[in-house]
Parts: sequence; structure tokens; C-alpha cells
Amino acid sequence: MNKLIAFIGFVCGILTAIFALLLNPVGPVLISGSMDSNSYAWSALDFYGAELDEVTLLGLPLSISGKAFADEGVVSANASTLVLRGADNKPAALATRLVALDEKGELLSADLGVNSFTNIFWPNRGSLMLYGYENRWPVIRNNILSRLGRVSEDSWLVSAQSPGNSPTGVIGGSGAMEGMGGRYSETLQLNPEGEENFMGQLSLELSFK
Amino acid sequence: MAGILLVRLFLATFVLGLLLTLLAAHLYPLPEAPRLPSDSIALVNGGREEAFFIRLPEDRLGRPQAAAVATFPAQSFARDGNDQILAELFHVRDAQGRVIGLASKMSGTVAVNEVRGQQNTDWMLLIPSRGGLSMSTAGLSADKERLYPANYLGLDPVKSGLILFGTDEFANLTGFFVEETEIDRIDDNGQAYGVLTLRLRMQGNAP
Repeated sequence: MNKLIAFIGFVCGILTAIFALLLNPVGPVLISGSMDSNSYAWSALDFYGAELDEVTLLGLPLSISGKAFADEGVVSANASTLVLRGADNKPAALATRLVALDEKGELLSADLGVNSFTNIFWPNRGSLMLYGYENRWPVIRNNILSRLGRVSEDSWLVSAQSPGNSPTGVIGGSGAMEGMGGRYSETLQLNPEGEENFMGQLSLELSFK
Repeated sequence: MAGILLVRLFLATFVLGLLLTLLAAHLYPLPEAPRLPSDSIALVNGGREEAFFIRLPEDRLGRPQAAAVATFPAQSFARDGNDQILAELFHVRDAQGRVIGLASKMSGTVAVNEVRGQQNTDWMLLIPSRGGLSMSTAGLSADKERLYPANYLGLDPVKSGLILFGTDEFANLTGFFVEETEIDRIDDNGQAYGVLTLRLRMQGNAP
């Protein structure tokens, strides 16, 4: 009887801790877009590499998404080409994005992230280069909870302060955006047309020298 | 009395399970990218040079995406027809031929002023174990003046440019890059075979 009670108590403790971790409200400081920001909806034209879901981010010994690169040096990275659409839903810019796992994450503080480098080109106007940290924990939590039959969300604000406190945001530009600074915020959504790729919303706030 | 003991036992094992799980979460070994040594060469001026290689066509990811394939608003384009943006993605190799990272190259016309355009090429280089670099032939870092290193002078402005930003191992570096393309042959379909080399010269730690 004693052993059974001890076992039940122990398992209940483990389950409570797991739920506490999943619902942990503490996390890195999020960077949200303001009313003054220019918003673009993006979708991927091309996507190569690891999906950076819970399997990759937690390093679980399960098969990584079939698209992951075979080479050891880039197994936890991906590259994509994106089209950005303006408020009128027409293509406004073309972009490339390189993403790799960040190694400074911490499960206890609900912080599992990726480093993201984005290059946006507006035809005949200019280009911008962005660097950001995305905390993917909300996406992972959603995936786990939806598998448990809980209500799932359909978009997640992922732009966050880097755990290494590296400066993030607009890091440079050319043409009409030459030397511009500023910040940006990224919201991810699942792509209804493809199970593997995300879509997203990018909010840009540019500042002049 | 026995009931109280059972409740205490339950609570004690509950707390034990809770704490051990939180400890396991804290100590959980998150994945790390494999550490690959740098091939950089020290220069006499205190800087360093490093080359990254892209084998064509095998290191190209997919086909280049040209913005012209999308229905961009007509007013966004130059009247002279220089309206194409080219976006390319690559694997990047070190001198030993190992794939160590990813690169993206975007090129197109950007505005100098309302009537004049200029060709610009942006490069992004990401080596998961070492950090990322952003570079541009005509771009400028946010909130910084354009400063050309002395040994940058005389290089082809279309195939070279400044390092704008770096992270981790490349953080706070200044310097420039040169793009060198060596084409061995072009097949009947117009496919080029050769090596594209990105040669970087990086200097000290700038604020």
C-alpha cells in the first residue's frame, strides 16, 4: 500500500512539474510590434533544412523532419526564400532567411529559440538586413498541448530578447534604406496549405540616422 | 494515524517528483551544433582572412528565385527595366570541403535617389557553430558611417563590399568581403560548374 501511494505521489509530482513547465508564464521579454509599424505578411517560396520544431530544439532521439540537411554542420539550420505582402495583399518585397538553433536556451525559463537572419529586397528601392532571436517555446507548447487534445492557438509572437543580450533588429540596409536602424517583430502562423512550413507577420519600425 | 502517514508519504513523494523533474529540466542537455575549427589566416596588420567556398552547382539550394516571377506592383519597378531581384541560397564549405554553413545572396537595383539606381548585392552567411555575418556591396550598417579599410581600395565594387554585422564569433568585427567566381565549364543547358569563393578580411573588435 505504501509503495503504491509513494508511486502515485511521485508520478503526480512529475506530471504537475511537466504541466507547470508547459504553462510557465515566465519567459524571455517579447518584442511586439507597435501601431506605427509597417506590417507584411510573408509566406515561403522555398524552404530547405530542419523544421526547428520540438524534436530538433529539444534534441530528441526521434527522426528529424525529412527535409533536414544531412551534413552535420547544418543539421539544425534552415534556409528559405520568402515573399512579403503589404496591406493590399500584393507582393511588396522578396526576402531570404537563414535560421539556426540558439544554444543558450533554458527549459526552466520557457526559452528555446533560434537565431534568424533576414534580408529583404524591395524592387528598385532598397534592401534591409535583420537579425533576431525567436523564442519557439510557445509553438512547442502548442504542439504538445494540441496532441493532448487541448485547445491550440493559431499564431504566436516569437520575437524576443536574445538570451545572450545580442543587439537585435534592423542591422543595416541599402538604397532608400541605407544606414537605417530600428526594430522588428515576428508572429508565426501555421501554413494551412502545407503542414511543415510556417507563414508569418513581420512588423517593421524603421528609424533614421 | 495510518491515514495521516499515507498523506505525508504522498506529499513527500509528490514534492520529490516535482523537484526531480524541475532539476532534470534545468540540467537537460539541449542540442549544440558541432564545433568546426576556423580556417582563418592571421594577417600582418593584426586582422585575419578567411575563405568560404560554394561549389556550383551542387551547393545551390533549389533554383534562384527572381522577384520578376511574382506580380510585384508595377510602380515598384524601374522604368529602365532593371527590375529583377535575384535571391539565391547555398551550402557553404570550408577549405577541407566540409559543409559548415548556409549562405544567401540577394542582388538587384536599389535607389540612390529618385531618378538613379545602383546595383547592390547582399550576402548573409550563417555557420551554426560560430555565428552569422551580414555583408553588402552598397549597404551600410545601421547608425554607422561608411568607413572603408585601407586595403579595400581598388577592389571591384560589384564583387566586394563591407561587413555590416556579425554575431557570436563574428560579433563587432569590421572588414570587407570579396566574391570570386571561377567557372570551369558551362554545359549545354547553360549550367555553370565551378567554385564561388567568399574571401573575408576581418579586423579587430569595433564598438
